[in-house]
Amino acid sequence: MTTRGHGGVVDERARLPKPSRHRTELRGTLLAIAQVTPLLALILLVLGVPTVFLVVNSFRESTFLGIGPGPTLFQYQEVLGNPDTIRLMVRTITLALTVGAVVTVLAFVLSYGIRFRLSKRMANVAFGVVIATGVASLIVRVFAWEIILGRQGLVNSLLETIGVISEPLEDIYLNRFATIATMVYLYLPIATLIMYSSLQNVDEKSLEASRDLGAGRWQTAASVVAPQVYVGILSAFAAITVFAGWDFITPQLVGGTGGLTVGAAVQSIALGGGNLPGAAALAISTLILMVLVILAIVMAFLGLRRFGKATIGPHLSVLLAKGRRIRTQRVSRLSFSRPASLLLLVYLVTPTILVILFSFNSSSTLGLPMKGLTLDWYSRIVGTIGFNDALSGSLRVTAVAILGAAVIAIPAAFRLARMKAGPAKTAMWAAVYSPFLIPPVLWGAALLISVTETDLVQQGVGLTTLAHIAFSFSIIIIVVYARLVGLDPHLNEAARELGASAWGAARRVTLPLALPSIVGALALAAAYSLDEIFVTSFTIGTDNTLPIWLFGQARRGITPGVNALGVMLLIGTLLSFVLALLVSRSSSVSRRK
Amino acid sequence: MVSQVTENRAAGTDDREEAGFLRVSGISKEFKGSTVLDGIEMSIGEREFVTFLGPSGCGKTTLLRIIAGLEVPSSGRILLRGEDLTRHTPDARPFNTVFQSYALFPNMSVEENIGFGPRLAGEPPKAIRQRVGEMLELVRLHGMEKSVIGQLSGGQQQRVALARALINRPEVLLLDEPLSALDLQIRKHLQEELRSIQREIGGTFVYVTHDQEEALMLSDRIAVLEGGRIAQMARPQEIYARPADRFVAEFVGEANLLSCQIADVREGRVTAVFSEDSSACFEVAENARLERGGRALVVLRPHEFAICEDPADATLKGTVYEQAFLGDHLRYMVSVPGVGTIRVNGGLNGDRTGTEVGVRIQAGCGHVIAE
Repeated sequence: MTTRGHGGVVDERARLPKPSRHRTELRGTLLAIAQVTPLLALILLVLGVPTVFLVVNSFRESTFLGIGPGPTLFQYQEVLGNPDTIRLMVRTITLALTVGAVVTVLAFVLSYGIRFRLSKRMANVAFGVVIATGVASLIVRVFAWEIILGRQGLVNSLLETIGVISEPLEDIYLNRFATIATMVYLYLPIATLIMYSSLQNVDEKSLEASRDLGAGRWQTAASVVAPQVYVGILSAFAAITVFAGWDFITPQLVGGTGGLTVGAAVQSIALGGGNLPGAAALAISTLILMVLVILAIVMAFLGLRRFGKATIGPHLSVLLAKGRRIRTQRVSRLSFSRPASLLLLVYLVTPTILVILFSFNSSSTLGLPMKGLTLDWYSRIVGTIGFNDALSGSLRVTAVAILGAAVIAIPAAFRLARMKAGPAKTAMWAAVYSPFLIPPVLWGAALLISVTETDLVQQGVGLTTLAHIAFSFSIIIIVVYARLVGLDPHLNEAARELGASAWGAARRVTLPLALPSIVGALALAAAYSLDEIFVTSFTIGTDNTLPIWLFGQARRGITPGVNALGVMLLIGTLLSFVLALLVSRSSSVSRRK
Repeated sequence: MVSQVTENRAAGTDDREEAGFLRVSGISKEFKGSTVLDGIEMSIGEREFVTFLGPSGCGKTTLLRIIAGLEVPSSGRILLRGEDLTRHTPDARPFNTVFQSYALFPNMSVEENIGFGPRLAGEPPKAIRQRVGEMLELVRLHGMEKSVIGQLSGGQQQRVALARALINRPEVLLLDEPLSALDLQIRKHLQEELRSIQREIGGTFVYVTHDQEEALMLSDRIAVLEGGRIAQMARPQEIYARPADRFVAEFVGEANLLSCQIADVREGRVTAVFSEDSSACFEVAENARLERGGRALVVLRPHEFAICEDPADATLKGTVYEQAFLGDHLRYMVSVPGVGTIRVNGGLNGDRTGTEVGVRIQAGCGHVIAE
């Protein structure tokens, strides 16, 4: 940012003729550097350097005291030579792929329904539900499945009431099935958003054209819509597979004894056993294997697509056409995706509502029957030792992280919006997205290793805040950038031509227009930061934040008190989201006027 | 299909329409309480080119989409050769649509787009390739089989959309303002081509547009729609020369509407009195109910007047207050006391601004409608 001196319109005019081209250019360059340097520096500091530490340390021995000498392949031999570890990796990756595949299919159905099949009002509601459940606290949404699948959960109670079973079913909970059901629920919203954004580029008329040319509903979805969004489908699949593969919360809470995954192992080796090089090697090996598997699947898909287009495609459409001719001479207007997407919405909403409902249940177990309403659990959990520390930890981390991120992100977003496409911009985007490209477990482990090695910072609120700044500015830049490039570029030009300086134009025109999106972005980042648990669990040390404390409590059993705390966290994240929504809505209204 | 010559194509249109090839029977459509279409009745003949013409919001596109099956009517039926298609989904109807936005599939090449329908019908790839070739020939895009949709110009995309719809040999081709997104030059050119393609393949075309000039040029018959109703459905000449009401008169072509009093009604002709000393005899619109002594409007096109040098010949007298050069003629704005401003075409000689002129109505011209 330049100095205040040439901010106003008047003095800018008074200074005509304009400063020499050379000086203007120099000033522009300096400004650009000032806008992007903090971002790049921070990414380098909290992401780049730790990642190097992580990789380097995976090639070192571990000793009783910590990190030993190197370089050595010892850790990798340990990981890859141990059948149990290999089995763990395979099991984790299979779980991840299953969740990835199921979520991708469901997300396609849901986003297809929202984009093309639901009425406008219904689609808005559905979109709100998807975003709200996506933003709502992750750990709390895991709790919901205890209420649904647990020993005294809804499913068991229901089956008992109607007399199908006499004893509660044990094997629907604390196992792989429960883990998959929960993870699908957790990651469906984000996959739906990814898919929806690519479906938005599909012209509604191309569906009509396809129907008009003789294709049925399924043929249209398969041969006209899906090929247009296959990038979205593959990205959703890859992203969800990675999320699910490194989620160590869900398997531990609902996975039972078989719930150990690589993420959980890395966490316990690094934090509990102190074998940082071993944890690093395990995490890196699994990441490489996972990336290879995903790549292989994506390549196979693309290859099949090309191959199928040339060979199977024509025959397949002949088959489909023959099957169809018998069926659709006179068809009802019942569709598949409308009821299917409505069902999926119920699947998204119900657990969250249950969590809230049961936090007021006076029974001491989480399950049916509801006995009476009480606020007891809230007062009890608030009174528990450790709550105050966790709350203040959370507030400190989130508040400082959001402020810090805003200072770094907003100038950078302005710079990005003015940059032309090219290598520099691509590099900037890579930096912006990097906090979300590295799996949080690896990032957490990398930070842990770095502070152990360098002794510059200690684990705790400070280190956690640094990490939170990094992903918060990613969120802020992405949101604000979208608004800035959506603005009419002539607005800025008009302001400049009417005599405003670059800074004056930004301050008087662009910034006010972008303000709602900035507030919304901050709220969104706050919601994310408030709930972050994966990286935080590595960086927080002996300090506490609400989700970490909640997770600790929940491992000893999800009690109504824990549930009540979860609801508070849920409300915190949802309030941030509602704020974001209200602000952006008011801005869109004023835009229409 | 392409080579199918249509020698038996009748020169006139009237004998084709009552065949009841495509019937729109009592179609109404309501959207959230407002009526978009109100009891539309029409019959379209085989190989006929019918245009739905009207301003935006008149329901013309909705009607087309109901015929295509992309929209469900609130009531009424669509019949093809007597068979009820109202409940059929779009894919089960032998109709194809050319969309305003073309709606080409961006993930497919030109060839794949055009071959989409036959592919679904399960035709062998070789036959499809040949027919796609024929279609490209028809729309003059040969050699562009492999092109990517995004690289085509608007006019080219429009041709691909046309070929994609026509390759299925639809019983009726539906066109929803297909040329409205194109430049004037290309539009004019494609209009001519569209007409010749329709003649060549002998297909039934239903065309939607808000451009009256386009409608006049292309159509065998025009249905002028207003507020969800058919204001008039007739041959272009008929619509132009004998508009049914004020809306049609003003929407199609340029019209002077002269208020008059009816002096005499006899055998479809009336004597209209403009003022004490000027009156003339005109034909009356079929649906106009006129009574002696009542008021009515005379529709007169600018070229149906002539400036006359001899005041004795003049039906109306007025002052030229503006004149404009329009290429092959001049346009005079004449202020006539008691009647208002009329627009009159005249030859290219001289400046008459500010002068008193006599205006004569040419013999056989003019047409009376209800006020």
